Amino acid sequence: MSLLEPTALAWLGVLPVLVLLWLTRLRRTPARVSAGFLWERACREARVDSFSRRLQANLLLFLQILAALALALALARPYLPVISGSAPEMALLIDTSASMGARQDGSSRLEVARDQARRLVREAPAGAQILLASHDRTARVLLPFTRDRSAALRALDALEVRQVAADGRAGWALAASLLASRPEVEVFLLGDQPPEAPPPSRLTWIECGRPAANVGLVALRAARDRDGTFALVVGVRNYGPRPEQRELELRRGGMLLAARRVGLPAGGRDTLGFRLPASGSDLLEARLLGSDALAVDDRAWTILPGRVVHSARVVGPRNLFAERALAAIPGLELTRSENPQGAGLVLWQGEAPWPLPPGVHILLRPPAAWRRGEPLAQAFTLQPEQTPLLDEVPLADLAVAGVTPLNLPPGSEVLARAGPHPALALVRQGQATALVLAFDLYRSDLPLSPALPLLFANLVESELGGGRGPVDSESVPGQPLEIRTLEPVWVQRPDETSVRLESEGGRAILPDPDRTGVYQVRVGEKVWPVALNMLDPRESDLTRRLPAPRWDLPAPHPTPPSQRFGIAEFWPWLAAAGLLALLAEWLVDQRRRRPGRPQGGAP
Amino acid sequence: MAPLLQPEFLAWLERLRMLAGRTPTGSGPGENRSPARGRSAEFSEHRDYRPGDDFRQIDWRAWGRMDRLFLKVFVEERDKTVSILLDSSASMGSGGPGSPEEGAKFDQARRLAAALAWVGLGDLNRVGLGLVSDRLVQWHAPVRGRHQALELFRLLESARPQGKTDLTTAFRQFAARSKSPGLVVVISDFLQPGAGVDALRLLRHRREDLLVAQVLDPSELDPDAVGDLRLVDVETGSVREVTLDARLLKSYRQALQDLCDELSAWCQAQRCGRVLVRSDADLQPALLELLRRGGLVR
Repeated sequence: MSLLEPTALAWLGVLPVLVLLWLTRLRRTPARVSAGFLWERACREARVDSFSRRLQANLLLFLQILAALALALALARPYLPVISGSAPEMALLIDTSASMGARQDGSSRLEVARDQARRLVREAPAGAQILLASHDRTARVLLPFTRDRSAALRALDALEVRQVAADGRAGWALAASLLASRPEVEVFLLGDQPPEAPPPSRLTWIECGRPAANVGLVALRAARDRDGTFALVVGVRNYGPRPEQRELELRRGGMLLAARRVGLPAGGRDTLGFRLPASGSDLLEARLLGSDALAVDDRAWTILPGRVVHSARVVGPRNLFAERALAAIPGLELTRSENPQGAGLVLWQGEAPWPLPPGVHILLRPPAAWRRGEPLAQAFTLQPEQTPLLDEVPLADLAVAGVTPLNLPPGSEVLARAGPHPALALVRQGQATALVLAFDLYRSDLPLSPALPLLFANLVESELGGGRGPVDSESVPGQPLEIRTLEPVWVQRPDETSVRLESEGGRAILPDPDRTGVYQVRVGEKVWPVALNMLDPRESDLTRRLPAPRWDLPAPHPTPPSQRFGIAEFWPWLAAAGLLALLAEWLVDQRRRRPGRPQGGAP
Repeated sequence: MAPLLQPEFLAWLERLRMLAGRTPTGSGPGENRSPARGRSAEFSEHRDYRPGDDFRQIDWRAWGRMDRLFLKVFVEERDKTVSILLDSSASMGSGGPGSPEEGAKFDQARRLAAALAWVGLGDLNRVGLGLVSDRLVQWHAPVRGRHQALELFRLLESARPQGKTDLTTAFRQFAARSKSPGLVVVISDFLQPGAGVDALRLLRHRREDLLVAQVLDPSELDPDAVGDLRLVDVETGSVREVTLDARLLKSYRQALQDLCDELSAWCQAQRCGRVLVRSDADLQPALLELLRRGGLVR
């Protein structure tokens, strides 16, 4: 036997109190009698000193102790493990990503989901086993299969929205796993991003919340110019079907720096540029005033970069567009040489060697080892993937020609495609990282758009970093925050709670930062701020539908399900026993308290 | 305790006096009828003439009518000594557990003693009064005449229940002070081991006529207190902690019944009148029954 609520055993503390009260009550009332010898004889004949008579005399105490014991045990909810053959199973998978915090008609989507889940739990058939899981960036089982409905309801009450972008695949993957491994399970997915395709049998999608309009920040980037001032770019997007107007505020170190009215057409976006003076706090906040369905994307923070200089080297024949794009990146000193040694970044404008030396490389012509044909004369429209390296890089709808078909080595990431061919790829091999352009730059629209310098700037920042020390200045919620240090670290979260992290292998990791805002990382005496922003269209777009997931489910189980272990609670019996004991105690007491008769201190 | 000489009580005694008759034994003439036949104005019965009888007692009128000699027998009236022994031990002042009225038993016993004394004095008897506990606490020698009643009443009024019960010692002391046998009325609860039979036997050996009035409180006869009590014996001070319930009460009632039965059986065997007087009951029926059994009323 085990207990589900062992802390309730603290109620057993009433037992000594009962005994104490009983002893207090046993101060017997003196009564004068004329014939003590007759009473002595009566006591002898009635055998009042026998054990059974003593027990009878203390019957009330016995019943009170019995009632207290039974009720305390009932509150502790004891259970016995049992084997059940065919108990129904129900899995509730609830989306807790940031968009579930969107409020409509006074309640959030998570509250709607919670109500729906509560209804399912209450209406589940008797003996049903219930599993509760949440999913956003990852899926987590909060309560394994149990028959304890109150535990399920409590777990539901404890659910909170996490300011984390959803990865729709996490929830679907858990659902698929459950469906595959448990032939009788009924899975309920509760969320706000419905799938495009209908779910398979035994899986029910419950949509929580209706599509809603929302305006959110989608970009906040700052770059230091050579004169020490900062160029700031703020992206705002309207995800709703109607035009919107919002006020945008910029605050530096908490002081209002600028305010601007932003007009956004339906579904449109706007990018605003600001120039900031060199001096002042390095913490900058952008804030959209007014309210909409989702608040988490109305604020964003960035840490203004310090002055960092990286060396870049151009090798091979000149390519004016590429050189100018690199030259536009602040903090990058560009030189020409045929020797790539010693440079942080190397721009290969001609044939590049393979394997590449350690460092970051931009290859305007792929190595011969990867090419599997001559450049194609056909023009293609670029199809960019969603990847941090292409943030704010307007590649969509740009035309390219002279695309060379490639066989990319393992570990490569395709950033954009030209038809079926990779057009832009990031290749990592050993200590070398290379951005590969598989098309002819001169025969593309890239030089005519800001995409090229932005792409190069993203590469420099992501691969060479801002030179800020042990931690990146920006991250995204839900992604482990890695601090490169050998010392212990204190991290203060946006809600001002702190946590101490120990360094292991040269890193300290905050595993699951689930709040947007500024985290203060203190290493030794120095503090490094880190901004975590919800600049994710997947969360801000409250009308979005998920692409149809792939359901690779095995065939239904051919044999009856094997026996499963469950629990059988018997607290109702204990509670009933306790109440019966109380009732018996009351009856005995009433029987002893006959009305109109003198009492001798009897309870 | 309530004062004894209430006007209502005295009026009641007077009514009782009207009801009372006569019966004698004593050294001098009195109003009581005596078992001894003799010369007096009061006719008792006829009997056949036997040789040697006094001719003066022959009923000549009956001889004339019936032609047989009958002798007229007269009751010889003599005075009688009535000794009232009132138990004044502590147990008489108490009752059972939860007794609502302390002293009710002793009050009833005093009233009974007073009534007996009043009736006895009214019949020109000699009435003595003794208070007994573990000894003869006080003894008022027999007096005659209604005017002496006040003295006896004062003695009764001043009496307080205290001390242990030892009737044997007390009666022995009484026997030493009592000059001639007569009627002895013992008023007590007889709540002692053996029901005081040994002590009564002592009186009986002195050829005393005995009347026994056992006064008990309702809380002794039928105690109904329940719960946890510490019983304190008023005489010995011994303590017994009990939880009173139906079973224990039943045992107690049985023990009391056995005690009363023992007393009753002895009295029956000795042809002594015994009356049980409840402290909450009307005294008159019990008193009349006592007087009747003692031959103090007709």
